[in-house]
Amino acid sequence: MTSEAATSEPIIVCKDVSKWFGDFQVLRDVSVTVQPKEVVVIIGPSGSGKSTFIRCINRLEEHQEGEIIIDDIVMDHNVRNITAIRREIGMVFQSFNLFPHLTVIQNIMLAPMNVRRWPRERAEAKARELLTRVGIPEQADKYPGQLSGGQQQRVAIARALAMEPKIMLFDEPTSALDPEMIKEVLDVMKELARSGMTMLVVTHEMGFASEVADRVLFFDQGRIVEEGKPDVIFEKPQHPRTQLFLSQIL
Amino acid sequence: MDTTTDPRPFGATRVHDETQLRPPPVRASGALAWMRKNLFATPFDTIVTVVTVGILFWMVSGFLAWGISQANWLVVTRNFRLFMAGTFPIESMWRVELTALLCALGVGFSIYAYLRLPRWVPWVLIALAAMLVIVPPLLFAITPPAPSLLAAGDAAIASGTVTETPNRQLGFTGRAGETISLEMFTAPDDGVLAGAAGFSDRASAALINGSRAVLRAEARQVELENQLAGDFLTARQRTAAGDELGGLAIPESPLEAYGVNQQAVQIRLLNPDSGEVIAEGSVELGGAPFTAVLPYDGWYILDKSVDGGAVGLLRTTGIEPVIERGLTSGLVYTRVLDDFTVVQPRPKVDGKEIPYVSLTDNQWQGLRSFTQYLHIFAAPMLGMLARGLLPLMAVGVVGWGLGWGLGRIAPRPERERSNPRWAAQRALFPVWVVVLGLSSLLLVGLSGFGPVAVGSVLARFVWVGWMYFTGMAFDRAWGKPLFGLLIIMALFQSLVEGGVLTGRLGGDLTSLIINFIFWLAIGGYAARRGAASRGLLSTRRQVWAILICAGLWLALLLIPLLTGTSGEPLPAIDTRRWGGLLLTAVITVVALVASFPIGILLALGRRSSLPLVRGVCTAYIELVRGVPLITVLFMAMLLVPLLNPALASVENAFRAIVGFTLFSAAYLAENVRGGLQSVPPEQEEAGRALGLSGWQIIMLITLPQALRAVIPALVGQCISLFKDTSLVALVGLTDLTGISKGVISQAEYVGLQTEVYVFISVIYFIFSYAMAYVSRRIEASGSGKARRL
Repeated sequence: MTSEAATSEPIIVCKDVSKWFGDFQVLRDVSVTVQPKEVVVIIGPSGSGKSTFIRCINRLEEHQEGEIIIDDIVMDHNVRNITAIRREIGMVFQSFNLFPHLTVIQNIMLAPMNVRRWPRERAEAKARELLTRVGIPEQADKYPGQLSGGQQQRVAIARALAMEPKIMLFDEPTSALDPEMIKEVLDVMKELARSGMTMLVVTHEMGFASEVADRVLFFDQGRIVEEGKPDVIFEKPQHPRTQLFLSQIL
Repeated sequence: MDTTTDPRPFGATRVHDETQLRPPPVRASGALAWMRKNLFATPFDTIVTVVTVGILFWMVSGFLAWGISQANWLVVTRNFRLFMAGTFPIESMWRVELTALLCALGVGFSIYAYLRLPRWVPWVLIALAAMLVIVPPLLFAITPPAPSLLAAGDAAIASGTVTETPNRQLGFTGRAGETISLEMFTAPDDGVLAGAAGFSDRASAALINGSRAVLRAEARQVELENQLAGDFLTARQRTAAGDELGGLAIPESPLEAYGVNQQAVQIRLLNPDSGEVIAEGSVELGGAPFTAVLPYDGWYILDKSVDGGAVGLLRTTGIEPVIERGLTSGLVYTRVLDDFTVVQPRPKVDGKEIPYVSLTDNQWQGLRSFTQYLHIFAAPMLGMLARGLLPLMAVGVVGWGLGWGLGRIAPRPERERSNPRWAAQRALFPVWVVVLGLSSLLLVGLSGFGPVAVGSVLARFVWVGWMYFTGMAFDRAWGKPLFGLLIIMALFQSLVEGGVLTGRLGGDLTSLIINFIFWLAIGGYAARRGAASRGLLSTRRQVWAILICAGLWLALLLIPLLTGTSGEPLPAIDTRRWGGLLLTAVITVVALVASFPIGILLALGRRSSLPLVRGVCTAYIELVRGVPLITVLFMAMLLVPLLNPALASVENAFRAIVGFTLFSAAYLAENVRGGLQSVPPEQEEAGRALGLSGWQIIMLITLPQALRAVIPALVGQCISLFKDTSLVALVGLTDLTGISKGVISQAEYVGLQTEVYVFISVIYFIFSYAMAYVSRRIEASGSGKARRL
């Protein structure tokens, strides 16, 4: 962490966040603080609660104990707060979740026009700019079903960026992609990280983590087992569970 | 080392040669290859093909034979107006016709907006139009007129248990310049007479029947004799056959019994008013025919007599059947082939109305040849279709052209550069609102509205368009004052309309406020849409559009003042006079339009997280789905007025519509719910992650996908609603099916139910198929294209 980032106000504060699915506790007192422009990569075995955790951050899942504060807004049952938080957070899903009945450009323009109430011209200009940024300006008028997986995921990133979020959440964005397409998505994400976006990324792409991440969190059984700079975590993991996990996937 | 060989000598590295891209190989084509591949690929396929073709041929040929040689299609052509509009007042038929034309306009416009027609369609349309124009007169010209047999003489001709005596005098109608001709029908033996086509009066039918009875008896005699001559009958059968043969009496041939065509027939043609003899003559076997040219339009009397009690059988041309119609203005007589109508009353002879060649004799039934079919049924029916379809086709083409023209003159934004249909697509909804609004205005009418008020109501439609263009210009200096002026004008119109109804300016306050707010809401919506499309029209065009709207608005308000303020230009039509296809269409369209929003709300309600809403919606859906439609209709018709006397004044047609709406909404709700379930929950998650509200997610994401997923089911629901409207016939409404029951209960069409039901089946089919076709096109459009890839 640079000294500049350390001194600024944290944009995400999670304090002792816990959640249960039935009787099963998926999150155990998770506490994380993220500074603006920080890129945090979350790794861990499946079922360890990492997806649930980032879904709690934009309230796709409801946490039951603890406190989440996003950009000084407290996440509670107040719908107005939830909406305000969601406007600040973009999310990219493993299965893209593009709207199949809308063209690519309509997918991107939908939220700015209906949530931010931008006029069509502005939303469209923004959408075209973003499509250029993710490298597929020529696909604007196609439907998602006509695109490859990598292209769909890049559209999904553009769709999330169209709301001009302060934070981007990535939930295993490359897990459903062919190896050839993973790179095109990761390139977009790297460019995004370099541009100063605050990012929380759940991924199994260790190369991406070590190249881009400011910090890596290792999740196991609903809690953060170990965290640190990527080179430290990947080279000299402290906790035996982390060591085991990394030895199996690297 | 070189002595040991590699045990697995595989996987040598090799670079493969570059190969050329080629087009796919050409496969054998042509009809024969297609048939070999698709119809006769295996012995089993061959059997199936042959059997299917055989069954098809058997069914189609049987139907065609019946339709051409036996069916009496006159019941369709004669009652066409009843089938289309029921007993709608004749003096107001123009309103139904205008409604049909408006709908054709809307359909043409919609086709331009959304359906990409194949290239052959214009040619087919032109060919169809040409056919409808050319073929009917051509058929009349090239096919000989249908002969009709008339008997003369004063013998009583027995036919079964009744006897028929030929009419000495017979009335018929004709036109000036037409030629009639009569000659002896050459019938040397029973075979020829029995084979005569049945276009005859009752006496000639009795003669033909007599000959047929002779032939039947002779044939039975031969059959029995053959049986007795053989040796494969049991003793008991032999006895029975012998008894029957003994008792079999060959009737006397009518040719001999009545001395048919033995004597000359004296013929006189009389003018019934003056009693003057127009032509006189006689015909005999082998002699020249009697011909006469008719001098005037109207009734004639044909007087025919035979000397010596013999019977003459005449073959006539130019004397055609007439049907009697009771219309508001009195009885009229219409010739069935060409609609030539005589309004003079039927002539009287000795104080009794003269018999005339009518359809009650059923002379249009019976065996007939193909040329006779062409002349008496095909040509009149095509002529009738031409009168009905040509204007509709023309107006449909005009609607298509309007869409095309709109695409030319309306500029479109950059992103729609490639879509010339964009303007038409945007205008489609308003166009249909106007079409359906004007249609209901025309069909229902405005009770108590004089020309001024009707003009005012029509001016409202222009006003809405005016609001649209004003909204477009709202950010100009003159935009806001104009907007204010328009709202004042709307208030003024509400005052006038209220005043017309009550005789006091403004009328009663509540309805005034409701009227004003209603139009303000619609106008406000139009202005908002206009504001959203700001920048589409140049300032000059905006000013032009506003000026045109203002001019039309003023004209609609002022013209009635100039032409006179008395009378009711659109008197209310009693809905009991709605009938036929009109009523079927009204019930279908209104029930569909009304049940869609209700059905969607019910489906959403059933998935709601609020237990009370969910419970009520579920209970409603299950209740309605558990009750037969006919029961719902009976309840709407009979029970509801009993429950609440205030509802008794609601007219039957509207009660039926309400019943259909409530029924259809429950089924639609289940279809929509199925669609909602088919949308993966991740879609909603994606919407929430973007910050959309619950309603926005439903309206923008879930519902569009859900509806698209269940288009086939929804269209199936539309089609079944359309067909189920026939059930209203059972509760006394005269829809297409109801009016059919009425038509076949008329005395002159007794026994013609097959023809009627075949005809209305064709109508039901055409509309149902059109709906199914449109649904397939909708499925394939938009993101449906992507799904097919």
